[in-house]
Amino acid sequence: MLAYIIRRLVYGVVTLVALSLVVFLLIQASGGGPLDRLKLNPRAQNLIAQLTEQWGLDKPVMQQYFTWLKNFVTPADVPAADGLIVLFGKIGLRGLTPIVLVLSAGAYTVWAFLVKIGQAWWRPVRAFSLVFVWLIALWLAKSRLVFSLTWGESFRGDGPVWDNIFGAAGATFRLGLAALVMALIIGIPLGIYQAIRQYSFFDQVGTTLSFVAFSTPIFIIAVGFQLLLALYLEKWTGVKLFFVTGMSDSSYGDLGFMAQMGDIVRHLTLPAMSIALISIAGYARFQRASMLEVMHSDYLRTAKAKGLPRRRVILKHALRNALIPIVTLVSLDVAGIIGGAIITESIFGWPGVGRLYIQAINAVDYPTIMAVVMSIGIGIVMMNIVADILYGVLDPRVRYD
Amino acid sequence: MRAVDGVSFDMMAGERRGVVGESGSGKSVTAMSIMRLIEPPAGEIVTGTIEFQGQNLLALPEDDMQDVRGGRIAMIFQDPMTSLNPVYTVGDQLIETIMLHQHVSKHDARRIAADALGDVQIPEPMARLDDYPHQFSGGMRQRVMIAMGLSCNPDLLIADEPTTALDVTTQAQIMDLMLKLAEDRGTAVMLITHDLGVVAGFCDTIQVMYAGGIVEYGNATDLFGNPQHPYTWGLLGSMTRLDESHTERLHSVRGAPPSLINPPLGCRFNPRCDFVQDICHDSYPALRESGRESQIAACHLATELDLNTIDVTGVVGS
Amino acid sequence: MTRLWHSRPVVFGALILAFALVAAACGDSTDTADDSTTTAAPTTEAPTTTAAPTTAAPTTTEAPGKPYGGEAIVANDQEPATLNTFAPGGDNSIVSIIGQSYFSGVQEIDGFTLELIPEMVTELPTVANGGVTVNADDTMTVRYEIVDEAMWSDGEPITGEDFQFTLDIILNPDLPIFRATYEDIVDSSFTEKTFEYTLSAPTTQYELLFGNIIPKHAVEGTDFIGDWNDKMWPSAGPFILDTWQKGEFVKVVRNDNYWRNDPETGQQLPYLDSVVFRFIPETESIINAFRAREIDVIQPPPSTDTIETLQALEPEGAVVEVLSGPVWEHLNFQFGVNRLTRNPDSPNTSLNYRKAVAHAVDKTTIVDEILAGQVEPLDSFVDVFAPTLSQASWAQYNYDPETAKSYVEAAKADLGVDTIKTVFSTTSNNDARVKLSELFVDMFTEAGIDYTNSLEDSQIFFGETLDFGNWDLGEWAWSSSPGFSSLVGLFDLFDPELAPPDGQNYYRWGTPEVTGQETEGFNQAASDLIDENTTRFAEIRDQLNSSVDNDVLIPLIAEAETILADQVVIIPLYARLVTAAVWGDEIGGFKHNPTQAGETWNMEMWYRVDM
Repeated sequence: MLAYIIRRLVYGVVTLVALSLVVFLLIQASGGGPLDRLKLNPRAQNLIAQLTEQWGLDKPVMQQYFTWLKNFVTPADVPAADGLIVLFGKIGLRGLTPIVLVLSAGAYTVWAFLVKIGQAWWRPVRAFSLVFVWLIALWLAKSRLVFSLTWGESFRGDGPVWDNIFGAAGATFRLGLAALVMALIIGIPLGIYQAIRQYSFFDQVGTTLSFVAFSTPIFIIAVGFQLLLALYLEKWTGVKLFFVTGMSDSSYGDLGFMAQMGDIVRHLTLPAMSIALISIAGYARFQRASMLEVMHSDYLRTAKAKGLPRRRVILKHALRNALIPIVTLVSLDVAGIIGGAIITESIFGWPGVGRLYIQAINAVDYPTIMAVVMSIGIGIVMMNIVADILYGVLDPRVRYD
Repeated sequence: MRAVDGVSFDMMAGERRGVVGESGSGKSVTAMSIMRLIEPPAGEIVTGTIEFQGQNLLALPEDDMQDVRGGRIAMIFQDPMTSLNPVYTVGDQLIETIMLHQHVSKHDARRIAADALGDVQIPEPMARLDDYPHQFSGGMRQRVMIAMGLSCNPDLLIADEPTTALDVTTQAQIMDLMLKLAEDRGTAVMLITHDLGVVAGFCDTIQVMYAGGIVEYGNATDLFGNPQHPYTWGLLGSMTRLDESHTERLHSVRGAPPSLINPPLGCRFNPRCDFVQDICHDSYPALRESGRESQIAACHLATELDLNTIDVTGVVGS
Repeated sequence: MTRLWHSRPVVFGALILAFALVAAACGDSTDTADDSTTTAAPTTEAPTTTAAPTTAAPTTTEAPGKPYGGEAIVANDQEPATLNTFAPGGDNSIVSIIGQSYFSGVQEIDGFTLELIPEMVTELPTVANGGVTVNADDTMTVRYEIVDEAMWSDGEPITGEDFQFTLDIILNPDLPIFRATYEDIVDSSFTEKTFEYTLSAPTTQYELLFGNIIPKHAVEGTDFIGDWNDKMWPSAGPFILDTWQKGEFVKVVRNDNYWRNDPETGQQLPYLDSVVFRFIPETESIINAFRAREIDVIQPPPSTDTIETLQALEPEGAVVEVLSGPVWEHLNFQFGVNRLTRNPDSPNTSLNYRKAVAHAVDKTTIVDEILAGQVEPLDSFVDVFAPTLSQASWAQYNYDPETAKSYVEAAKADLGVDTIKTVFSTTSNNDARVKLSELFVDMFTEAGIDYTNSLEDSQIFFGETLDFGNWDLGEWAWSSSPGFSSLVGLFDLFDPELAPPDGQNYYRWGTPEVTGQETEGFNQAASDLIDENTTRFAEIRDQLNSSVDNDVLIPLIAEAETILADQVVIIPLYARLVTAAVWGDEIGGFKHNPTQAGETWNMEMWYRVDM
C-alpha cells in the first residue's frame, strides 16, 4: 500500500512538472506580457525597465521557466514565530473553522481507529481521515509551521503568490465543499430513487431535468439564480433570503455566532447551488445507471431471498455497491467543481482562487497563473490517489501492490 | 409472455424433488414464484396459489413473506461467484440472516454462523467469517451459500442449479454435502437443474418441465427406468452414463425450445417430437396417469408408446 | 472578464494624467475656480474643526443639517493588488477610487465644473497668483501653502516636511515608482506649512505633481513597498482604512480628525460612518446586486443595455448619470515600415488617401450604433475637456462618399496603383470595436476602397502590434484630463522626436530610425513620412513643453491641432460614455465625476437620505 502510494506520488510529480512546462509555454505563446499595461503610459518607462530586469522578462523562455520553477520550490525565509502567530493569532469564526475542522477530524480518526479497529464498517471513515490528514498538511503549510514556500512574487504587485492562494483557498474550499455536499446529498438519493422507481413519472421528469441542467452553461445558471432566487424572490415575497454577491456582510465580524452562520448560508447558497447543479445532474444520472445495474445483480436476489426488508436490501446491499463507481466520478469531479468555481466566483464576487486566477490572467501575472494551475494539478493528483484508496476501502476486492 | 403456465404440484415434508428441464423451461421462474421474488417490471404472478404449510404465500402480506424467505424457505442460486455481496464479509452476510430470522444477539448469531460454516465443512469457520467472498474459491462460496440457506433451519430449501458453475469434482462434493445435510435435518429440497445426472443420486421425485409447464412427473426410479414423455426420453438419451461404453452416439432432443411469446398450437413439444401425430397439433395434452403408479405425463401417446424398446440410435438425426 | 482591457491601457495613461491641471497660466479658468464656492474653505474653518469630532456632532447640528451615520456600499469590477498608490499595481484606477477616502494632496478634480481645485493647499499655484515663478535662469519654482488645519487622522499636522518626505520617497532609486517630471526637480525646501520646489525648466506638468502626500512620521523607517500593501498610513482624507477582506471588500470608516467642513451647512465632514467597496468582477452581477439594493453606488461600463436597465430603475428611486467621459476613440494610420507586413499595399503615405478615409467614415452612424446616439461625435480630441481651446479642426471632413471617392482616385494617382487596399486592425475582445469594424466594411467599400478586417486580441494588439508598428489602419483610445498639462501630454503622443520605446508615437509619424533597443520590435527604419509638417510639429511640441505662459500655449495648441487634422494623422471618432447610478432614496450628495477622479471624488459629502 505504502509502496503503491509512493509510486503514485512519483508519477504525480512527473505529471506536474510536465504540466507546468506546457502551461508556461502556453502562457508565453499566448502573447502579451505583464508589463504591457504600462506601455501606453508615457511616464512608466523607468518602471518598465526596472521590472523587466527584476523579473527577467528579457531572458529566453526556458530560462524564465527555470527561474519560475526555482522560485516555485524555494522555501520562504520565514521565522517559526510567524507561523505560530498565524496558528494562534486569528481566532474568530474564520480562523476557528480550520482548527475545529482539523481537531474534530483528528479526534474522529483516532476514535475510529481505537474503538472500531478491524471493523469493516469503519474503513470508509478511516479512508476519509486520509483526506483530513491532507487538509491538516495543507493547513500546516498555510500556517508556515512545517514548511513554507512563496511560489514567487506576484507580478500584479500583491506579494507572495503562496499567501494569496492560501488566502483565497479557504473561500474556494468553503464554496466547493458546500457544492460537493449539496451535489452528493441531492444527486445520489435522486439517482437512487429514480432507479428504484424506474420508468415512473418521477424518473422521467428527473432524467429530463438532469439533461437540461447538464447542458446549461454555468453562467446562465448562476445569473438565473441571482435573478430568480435573490432579486425576484425578494420582490415577490418582500423577504431577502439570499444575497446576489459576496461572501459575507461587511459587519460580519461584529455579528453573533448564529447571525454569522445565517450570513454564511445566505451568501453561500446561490453560488454553491450554481456549481452543484451540474454535478447533481451528473451524479443522479450516473447513480441511477449504477444502481440499476446493481439492482439486477445476483447478490441482490440473494439478499431478497434471505428475507431482508426491501429498504435494507437497497440501503445496505445495493447502495454500497452502487456507490463504488461514484467515488471515482466524484473525485474526478473535484476538478469540475474547481472549474465551475472559476466562473461562479467571478459572477458572485466570491473571494476564491477562481477569481484570483482570472485577475492573474488579466494582469498576465505568470507566477500566480502558474501557481493556481499547479495547485489545482496537485489537488487532482492527490484526489486521484485518495480516490484509489477509497475505492479499495469500499470494494474489498481491490488491493494494491 | 407466460413464462410458467398451469404448473401445479405438491411436495411432501422432507421430500427431495428434482425439477429438470432445459433453459427457459420455467424451472427458475417456478422457484422464484414460490419465493415471490418476481417483481415488476421484470414480471408478475398473474394468478394461482402457492400453499405452504397451510398458508397461501401469494396472499401473505409482504412483512410475513419476509419471514418465510430465508426462514422457512431458503434458496440458493446458480452462480456462487456473483450471488454473495462482494463488499461485505461472509460473516456479515450470514449473521445478518440469522439475526433477522432467529432474533438472537449478534454474539450468538456469530456463533451460529460459525457452526453453519463448520457444517458445510469449511475449515476454521470462526476465522473465515471475517473474509470477503472473493477470498473463497467457487466451491467454498457455494458451501457458504448452502450454510446461509440452512442456517435458519428452513423447511424447504430451493437450490437453483447449485452446481452448474462448478467443476465436476466439486459438484459431487457439494451434492453429497447437501444430501447429508438435508437428510440429517429432514429438510425438503427442491433441486432445480438441467442435469439429470445430478438429480439421479439425490432426488426422491422428479418433475420434468418444458416450455412453462410440467410434462412428466414421477418418482426417480420409475421416471429414469421408464420415461413416459418423449421429451424426458430425449433428455435421458442425452445423458452420459459412466456404466455404458461410448460406442454408440449419444442422441439429443433436436431443435430448440419454442418461443413462449408465440407457442406452437397443441402440444408444445410437437415441433421437436419424433412421434408426433395429428392429435398433437390439435390439443394440448393434460397430465395423465401413465401405466405406473405415481407417474404422470402430459402426452397424448403416453400409454401407447413404449419408449424403452425403441432403438435409440435409429432416431438420431432423423 | 473580457472587459479589463477596454479600460486598462487607457485608464493607465489616464491615471497619470488624472490630476491634470486646469491651466496654470490660464486666467479664465483660475477666475472660474475662484468664483466657485469651493474656495470658501477659509471662512468656514473656525467653528467646527476644533470641536470634538465624535458622535456628539450630529446632536448639535441645526435642523437643515444633513444626518450623520450610516454606510454606503460601492461596487467595482476590479480589486486593487495593493492599496499603496505609489507601488507597482497601485496605478490601477480602483486604487485611486478607494484612495479618495484616505489619500489627499495638492489638487483634485471638481465633479461639477470638471476643473482642478485645491485640496490640501490654500490655492493652486499659478503664474497669476504668484505661486509659480519662472526664474531668470529659465528654471521654474512652485510654492504650496498648506491649509493650517490640515492634519493626519492620528492628529499630527500635515507639514511641508511631509511634502519633502514624499518627494524623497518618489526619487529613491531603489523603489519601483513612477518618477517622471519629479526627476526634473532640482531643488526643494519646506517650512511648517509651506513647500517649495524648483523644476529645471518651465512646464505645465507641475500641475500633476504631489497628488498624494505621505506622512513622514508614520512611514519613515518602514519598507515603503512591502509594508503598505494591505494596511495604510494615517489618512489625510475623510475616511480611514478599516478592513480589507481580500477578494471581497475594503471597508473605510470615518476619520474623526478630518479638517474640512461642508461649505453649505458648516457641518464637519464626512457624514457617513463607513463606506464599503465591494469587488464584483462581472458587470451583470454588479447590476443585479444594485437592483437588489445590496449595492448603493455603481459605475458600470456604459453599454446601451446597461443604461436602459438602470434607467428603468429610476421610478424606484435610482439616479442614473450618463456622461461623456475622458476616453476618446480614434482612427489612425501607421507610417512605419512594418505596416507593410500587415498590408503590403498600404497607402498611408498618401495624404489624399487619408482624406478619403476621413470623408468615408460616417461618425454619426457610428455614434448611433455604438452609443445609441447618446453623445455627439468628436470633431477634435481637444473638445473632450477643453472645448474653448478647440479648433474643431476635423469638422472639415464631413461624411461624403463622393468626396471620399474622388480622394481615392487622387490617391491612386499619387501611388500609381489600380486599387487602394486597407487593412483595419483593432482589439477583437471589445464589442464596440468589433461593431465598428463591421460598420467600416460598408463605409470603405462605398468609398471605393478594398477593405479588410484584421482584428486581434487586446493582449497581442497592445502588447506587440503597437511596439512593432505592424498595423495599417488602427483604432484604439486615449484618455484626456481637464487642463493644459493633459493637452500637452496628448500632443506628446505625436512627437516625431519620440519614437517608441522612449516615447509614445506608435504611429511613427515623422520618427527617426531606431536602433540598439533591447527589444527587437523597436528597431526600425525611419518613418516613411517625414516632411515640413512633422518638423514643425516637433518644434511646437518642444515649445509646449517648456512654457507655462497661456499667451504662448494657446496659439501653439491651436496650430498643433490644425496640423494633425490637416495632415489627417489621426481621426478622432467619439468619446466613450461613463455612467454611474446611485439609489437616490438612500444616498444623498452623490455626483458622478466623469474624469478619472471617479464616483468617489466627493464621498465626504455623501449622506444617508433615509436616516
